[in-house]
Amino acid sequence: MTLLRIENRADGRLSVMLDKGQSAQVVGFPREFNLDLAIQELDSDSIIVAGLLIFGSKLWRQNLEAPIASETLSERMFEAGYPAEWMPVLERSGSAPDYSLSRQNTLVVLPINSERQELDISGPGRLIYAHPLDVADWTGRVFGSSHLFFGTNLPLVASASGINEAVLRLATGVLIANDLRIGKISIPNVSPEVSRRDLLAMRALSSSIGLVVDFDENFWDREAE
Amino acid sequence: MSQISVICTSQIEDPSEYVTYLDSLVRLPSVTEVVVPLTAEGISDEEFSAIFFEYVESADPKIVPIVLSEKSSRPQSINQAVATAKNDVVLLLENPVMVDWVDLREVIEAIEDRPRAIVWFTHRVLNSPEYGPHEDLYFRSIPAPDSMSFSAYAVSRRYFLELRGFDEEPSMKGILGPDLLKRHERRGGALLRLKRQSGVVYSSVDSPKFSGSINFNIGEVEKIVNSKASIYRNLINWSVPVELRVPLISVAIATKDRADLVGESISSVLYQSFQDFEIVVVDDGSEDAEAVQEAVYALGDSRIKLLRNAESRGVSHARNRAADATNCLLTAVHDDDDIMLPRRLEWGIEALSETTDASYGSWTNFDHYDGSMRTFITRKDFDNALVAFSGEGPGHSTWTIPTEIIKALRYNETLTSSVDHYFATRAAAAGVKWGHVGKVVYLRRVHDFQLTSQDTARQKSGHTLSKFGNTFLASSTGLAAMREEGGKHTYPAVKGAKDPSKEFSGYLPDHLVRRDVIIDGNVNNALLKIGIPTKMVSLMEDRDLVTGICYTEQGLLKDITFDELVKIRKSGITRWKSVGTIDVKAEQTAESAFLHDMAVVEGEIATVWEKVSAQAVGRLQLILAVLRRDYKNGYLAVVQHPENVPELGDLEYFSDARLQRRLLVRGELGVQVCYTVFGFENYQAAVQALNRRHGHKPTSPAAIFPAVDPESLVKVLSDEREKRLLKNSFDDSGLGRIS
Repeated sequence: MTLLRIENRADGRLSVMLDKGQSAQVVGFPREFNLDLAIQELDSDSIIVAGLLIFGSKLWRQNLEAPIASETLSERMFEAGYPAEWMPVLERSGSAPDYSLSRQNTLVVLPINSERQELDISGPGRLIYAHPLDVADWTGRVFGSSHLFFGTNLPLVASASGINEAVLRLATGVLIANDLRIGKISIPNVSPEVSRRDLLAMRALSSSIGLVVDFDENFWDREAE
Repeated sequence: MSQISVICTSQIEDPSEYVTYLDSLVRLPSVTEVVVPLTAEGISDEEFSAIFFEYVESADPKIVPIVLSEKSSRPQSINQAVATAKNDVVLLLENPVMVDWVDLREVIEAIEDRPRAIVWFTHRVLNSPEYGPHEDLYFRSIPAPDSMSFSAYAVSRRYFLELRGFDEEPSMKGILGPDLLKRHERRGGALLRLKRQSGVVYSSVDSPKFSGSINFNIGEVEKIVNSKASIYRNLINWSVPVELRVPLISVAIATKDRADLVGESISSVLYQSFQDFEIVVVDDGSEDAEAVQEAVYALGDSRIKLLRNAESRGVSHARNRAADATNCLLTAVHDDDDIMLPRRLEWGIEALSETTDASYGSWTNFDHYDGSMRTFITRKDFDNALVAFSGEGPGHSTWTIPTEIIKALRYNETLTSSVDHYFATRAAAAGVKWGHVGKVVYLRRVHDFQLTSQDTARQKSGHTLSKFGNTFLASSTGLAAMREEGGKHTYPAVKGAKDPSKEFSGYLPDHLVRRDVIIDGNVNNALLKIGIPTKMVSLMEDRDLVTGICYTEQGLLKDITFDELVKIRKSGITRWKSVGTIDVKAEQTAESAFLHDMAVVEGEIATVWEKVSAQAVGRLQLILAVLRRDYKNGYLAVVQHPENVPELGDLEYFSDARLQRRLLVRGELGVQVCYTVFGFENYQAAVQALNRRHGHKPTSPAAIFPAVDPESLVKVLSDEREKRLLKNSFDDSGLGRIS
């Protein structure tokens, strides 16, 4: 059975790891996604959603033993339009924490190593810019009321797995959403290579844990499949 | 427009069904060829041949039949079929499924977009074989059982060859898909599934089946794949012809002002056991660029690419440039003054697995001036905990690492020293798992012009920087936990750690050693091919005289130069070992070498005989043990041939023997020992044959098994040898010679 493990490690990094457990699944490189952050409030459903974004097809139709999903996660994923053939088989128990009232902030996850950008973004509460920095050059984290800088292995994971960096930026947003009380995530500068189908799947996944996702492009204009 | 080759991995026994099926494939858009391997047994059926070849001749030139030799296994035949495919994208069919609903253009585009992904198709079984032309069959079908899930997949030809095709181990049979897929996933390769409409292949319950895959349990193949942790197969022996292969690994060499050493360094790559590599040399602004170019081109190997920076841009830039210049899946790091051991690439590649993304090893320092050696082992499983514990890093020239990791992380071009330690630490922080190969993989030259010996202080400072970054975020308790964890990393048991000279001196440069080489394989042919037959001083040949099979052919070559090591490897010899004697004054003249040899002639014949006979008796023991196991009910007659019989002239006495195995050991100065083992159905036949021979050659010792048990026979032979040795020696006790 496959496991998604999450750990605030001794080296000060948060790590989301895919572990094959006792299953016959093959988990090759990359098998972990790191952020130079320590995160406090991560619920199981958010971990599963982030894991699906980070590990993509490695999790499709896998029997996911841990973490245990809320009773309603897969129903909500299905209702939100996430493709059924991509869903893992989830162990379910208990209900999801309800953050809906407290999530009043908006998070913009910028492309890797980006400087501050002037963006036309509307959303509830405070606007916070997340600046992921490539761990090949940077270590550490800096926090201000509207900016958060932190190292991550996002570029390596993107290049090795072929998963678009925008998908991993959304996963980053999902992982820090609870701590920062984020209700809406904005992902600017999404490469035109990402299909509308994939963007819809990303939105559907996020909406199943109560997050609204926006892309700054007119993604409805992207090629329909 | 891009097109696709279809490889039907087996044939359907019923020729009419086969032709109908092939016809459905050749009509698919984008398909330009359908490669169909045929078994010799299959086409020996007259009805099959008539129907099949009539179809091929009349219907479509897109059908490419390949008649498999009886010696080719299923993996070998498919590997060769893919290697010879005309198109860059191939669709492998391991069951005769209907691919009519697959959008092959989408398949081609998906692979062109991600050339190292595999497109996988869902296999479903139709409830009824009858369907309308525009029906959506998905809801009229059920998922196929797991054993059929490997029926169809598409892959780029180049990537298939990079993964070294299917494992050619003899026990690999039937459906081979799990072998390719699992190894692909181990290296983190992506599986692409297309949209439902274009990603499904169908078969009906009563569909014909390929003859090679009937009743085959994929569990068997999965068991074989799971038993080997590595990713790449067929590294040394592979049925795919060399000219059709693609390089798997790029050996990256950064050089500057080392025209005198770089040739030797590259030669140590050329003699590697694994040969499907390319070498990228980046000359980082050498003052005498022409000398570097001359040294590189003098090696005359088309696999070498030489790039040049007009002015020096630093070692990091050179390393990044080498990575950018290759499309190889892997990179092996090498320095311009170092020497690889012959299996360095093979070991580095073999160590890569599901849990090891990049490999490293131990190394041995050698002094450029006196040849003294010292081995550096390094601890296993390099990671950030180990850096926190001891600060040590994986030795740079031992790395075998996916090129895409170098391209993604990049060597930091702002640094001038300790760039490798910084890179390795950042890679570990980014989730790259390092694994130790558990061996010494190269010899590191220690000399006055070495960067590290000139710039030790700056190296150490650079080291400190990467250690600092590694623990920058850790709290004091976190740091303590990391150090404790790092301390648990153990050292591997490395051969040659204690006495490196004994293991590795054979690979030192020519100016430091006299070198002998032991080679296995077709020795005589190889030596003729490379033009050094006179260098062989000893040969051991173990051959079955009935079948002609040569079980062992081993030669000892004396005074071999570094260049000749390369020639030996290029002649096709894969198994060889170099043994060196450190001799700093080895610049011997031809005359002194001749005198040295003459001294051997005068005084050492008995010594040579001793060596040769010891080798022969040892090997004979092995042969007898194997034959007694394989011929339990038979009788073996062992005949020792007199030294003055260079070839066997007396086989006629043993014409009724069902087995004739000859062991010939030749040494220096024409000394040779020869045994033949004959196998008989019964004891009488063996005795009669020996009697017939004894009438003509009464002096030759002989014995019969199992009348004499193997231990006793070997003892008899050893006693005989002892006696001879004593006879040849002078007794210092004053009692005179023993007769």
